[in-house]
Amino acid sequence: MKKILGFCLLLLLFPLGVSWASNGQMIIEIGEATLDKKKIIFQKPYLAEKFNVFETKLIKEFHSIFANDFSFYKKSFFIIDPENEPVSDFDDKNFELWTSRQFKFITRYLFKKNIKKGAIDFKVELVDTYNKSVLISKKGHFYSRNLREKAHALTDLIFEKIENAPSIFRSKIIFVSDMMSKGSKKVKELFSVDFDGRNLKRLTYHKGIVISPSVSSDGKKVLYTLIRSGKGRKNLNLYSMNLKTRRQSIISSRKGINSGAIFTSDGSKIILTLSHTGNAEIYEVDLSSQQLRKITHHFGVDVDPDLSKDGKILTFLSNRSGKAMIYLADPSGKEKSVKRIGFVGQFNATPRFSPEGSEIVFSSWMDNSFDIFKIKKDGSQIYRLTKNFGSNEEPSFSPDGEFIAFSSLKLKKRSRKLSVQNIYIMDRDGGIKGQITRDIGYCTTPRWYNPPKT
Amino acid sequence: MNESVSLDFKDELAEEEEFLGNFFYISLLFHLAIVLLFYLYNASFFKFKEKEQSLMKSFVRVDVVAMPTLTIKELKSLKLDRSFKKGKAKSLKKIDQSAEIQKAKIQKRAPKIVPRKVEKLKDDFVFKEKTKAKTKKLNKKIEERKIDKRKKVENIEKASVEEKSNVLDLIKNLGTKRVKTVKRGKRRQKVNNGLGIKFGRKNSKIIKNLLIEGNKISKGENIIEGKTLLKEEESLQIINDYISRVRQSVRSYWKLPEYLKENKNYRCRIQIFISDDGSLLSLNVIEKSGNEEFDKRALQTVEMAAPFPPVDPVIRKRVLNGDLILGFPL
Repeated sequence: MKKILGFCLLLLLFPLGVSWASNGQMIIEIGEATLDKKKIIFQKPYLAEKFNVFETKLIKEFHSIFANDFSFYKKSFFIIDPENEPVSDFDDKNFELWTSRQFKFITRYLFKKNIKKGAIDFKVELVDTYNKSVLISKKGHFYSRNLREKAHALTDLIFEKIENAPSIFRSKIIFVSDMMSKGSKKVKELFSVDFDGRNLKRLTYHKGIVISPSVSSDGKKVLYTLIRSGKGRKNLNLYSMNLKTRRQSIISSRKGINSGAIFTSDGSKIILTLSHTGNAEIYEVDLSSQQLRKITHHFGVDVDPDLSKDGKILTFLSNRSGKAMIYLADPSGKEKSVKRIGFVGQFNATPRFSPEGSEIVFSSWMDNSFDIFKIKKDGSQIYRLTKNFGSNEEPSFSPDGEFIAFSSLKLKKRSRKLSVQNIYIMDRDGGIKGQITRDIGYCTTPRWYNPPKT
Repeated sequence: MNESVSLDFKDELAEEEEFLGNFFYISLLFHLAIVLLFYLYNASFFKFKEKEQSLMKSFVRVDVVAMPTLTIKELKSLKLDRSFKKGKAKSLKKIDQSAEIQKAKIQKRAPKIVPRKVEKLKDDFVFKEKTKAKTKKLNKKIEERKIDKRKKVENIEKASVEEKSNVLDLIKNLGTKRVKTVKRGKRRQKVNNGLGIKFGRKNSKIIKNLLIEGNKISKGENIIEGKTLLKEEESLQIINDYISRVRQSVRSYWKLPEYLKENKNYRCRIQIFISDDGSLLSLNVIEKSGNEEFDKRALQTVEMAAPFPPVDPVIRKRVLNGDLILGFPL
C-alpha cells in the first residue's frame, strides 16, 4: 500500500524535478560580419602589335592607374602585382589558376594602334572567374592628354559593377594655394586636382585672396569669397564660378563678411555668413530672386555653415556659449531648433557633414595645434582622427564618405621655408592614405567633389 | 453467539478493506489516466524542458568628458593590448610570493628574538614576595624553574606578537614598496607600439589619464533581453566577462563576402562546448541559415577562433554543458 502511494507521489513530482534541473542557455550576439576582401587581378596588358617606346610608356601609365585607384580601397580589395602573372591570350577562358587562388575578378587589357586617329585603341574587360562571365567590356581609344581621365572613368565603372556603390575615381579636390604670391604680396588662387594628386589646374586669376571655396552638389559651380588686393576698403565678397566655362559672377557684396557660402542640395539657394547688420549671422539667399532670409538669430557670432545632403540639417560654428562650438539647426530658420552638439575642446572649427549625414567632421585646437575629430550628429561618439601629424584643419569628406581630405601644416627645421602646408587624404578612421599636393605653396581649404559625367 | 459476532466483525473489516482497496485502485487509475491524458496531449510533458535561452548583446559605454586624446587607431590598439593584464597578474603573483618568503624568513628568526626584560622583572618580584616558603632552597629552585617556564612562554608570546606586527608591516609596506621586476620590467617598458603607449605599469597610467582627460571608456554591461545584470551577481558577472571575451575572439574571424553579407535574413546559431582550458570540445549547429555557405563559414569562424580563454571554475559546468550559443549575427 505504502509502496503504491510512494510510487504515485514520485510519478506526480517527476516533471517538476526536470524543470528545476534546467538551466538557461545564452545566445551570444556575434554581430554583423566584416567584409571579406575581394580578390582582384589587373592582368598584364596584352599587346596585339609592337609599340614604340612612347606608346609603351602611355600604355603602362594607363594600365597602372587601375591598380593605383583600387589601392585606395585596400579595406575592401586584395590586389596582387600583375607583373609576375602570365598572360598568354586576351580571350583566355581557363580561369582555374585564379579560382584556385580565390580571385573572383580579373580585368584584362588589349591594346592596338589606331593609326587613323594617332591614338591607342583599348579593350578592357572585367571577368567573373567563378561564373566565367564577362561583366564589363569596353572599347575606346586614348591620347596622352586624356589618358588618365579615360582610365579613371573605367576604374569607376569596374568599381561600381563590383561594389554596387560609387567610387572616388572620378572625383576632384579644389583648394586654395598661395603659389602665385610674389615677395610680400600675398596672392591666393583657386586650384583643382584629381583625387590622386595629378592633373593640377588653376581655376582663378584674381590676383587677390580667395578663401572658403565650396562646390555645388552637381559639381558644376563653385562659390568662393574674394578679398581684393590693392588700396581702399577690403571687403569679403562672394563669387560664383562655372567650372566648365570658368565664367565668374559676384553673388553678394554686402558690407562686411560675405563668406562661408554653400549651395543647397538643389543649387537654387545658398547659405552663407553675412555681417552687414553688425553681427555675423547665417542667412539664406535665393539665387534667382536675391531674397535674403535670416536663419540664426543670436548675438553670438555664427559662421561656417554646412548642410546635410538631404538639406534638412544645418551645422555651424558659434561662440554663443563663450567658446567656438558646433551647433545644429533647422535650415528653415527657427532659432528654437538650434541645438548644441559640441561641448568640449578649446576652439572648434569647420564642421562638415559626411555625405550620408550621420557624422560631422571638424578641427579642434589641441596640444598647440589643430587636429581633426569626428562626432555623430546627435553629439555622441567623438573620435580623434589625426595626431602628431602637424596642424590639421579644414576637413572635407569624399563624395562616397569613405575618405577625408584636409590641410596639414608642418614645421620644417632645416629648410629655407619654415613651414609647409599641403593637402592630404585619410580614410574615415584616420588612416593616412597620401599627400595630394607637393611644392605648390601653402595649400588650404580642400573641398572634395564629383564633376558631372561627360 | 460470540463467535458469530466476531465473525461478522471480521467480515465487516474485510469488506471495508476491500472497499478501500477498490477506492485506491480507482483513484490510482484516475490519476494515471490524467497523466496519460497529459502525455497524449503534449508529448513533451515527460521530456526535458527546453533550456531557457537568453540573448546576450554587447554594449560599450563611452563617456566623453573632454576632447579625446587618443585616435581611433590608438583606441583599437589599446583594446587589443592584453599584456597589461598579464603583466599586472605577474607582478601581483610576485608580491604574493615575496610576502610568503618574508613570512617564512621571520618564522625562522622568531625564536632568536630576545624579549624585553623590564616588565617581567616587576612580575617576578611580586611573585617572589608572595611565595615565601620555609623550604627556601627547594622552593627557590621550583620557583626559578617556574619563572623560567613563564619567561619562556612570555618570550614566545612576545616573539609571536612581534612576528605578527612584522608581517603586517611587511604587507603594509608592500603596498608602498616598489616591486622589483628587474630586467623583465625594463624590457616591458622598452616595448612600444609606436604610438607612445607602453605596456605594463605605464599602460595603467595612460588608462588613468584617459579617465581624467577624455575617452572615458567603461566596460559596459552585457544586457540580457533588455535587463542589465546586477553587479553583485558574481557568477553572472564572470560569465558576462567570459562571454564578452569569447565574442571578441569569434568576432575578429567573422568575415563574409559581399554576396552573403548582403542578405540580412541569414541567421545561424552554433552551440559550443568548451573545456576548462578553453579548447573547443565540440560544436553543433542548432539553427541553420538556409544557406550552406553561410553555415559553413560560421562553423569555420568558430573553429578558427578556438581555443578560447580558460574557463573560470564558477562557470565551468555551464560552459562545459553547452550553455553558450553563438548567434551569427544574432
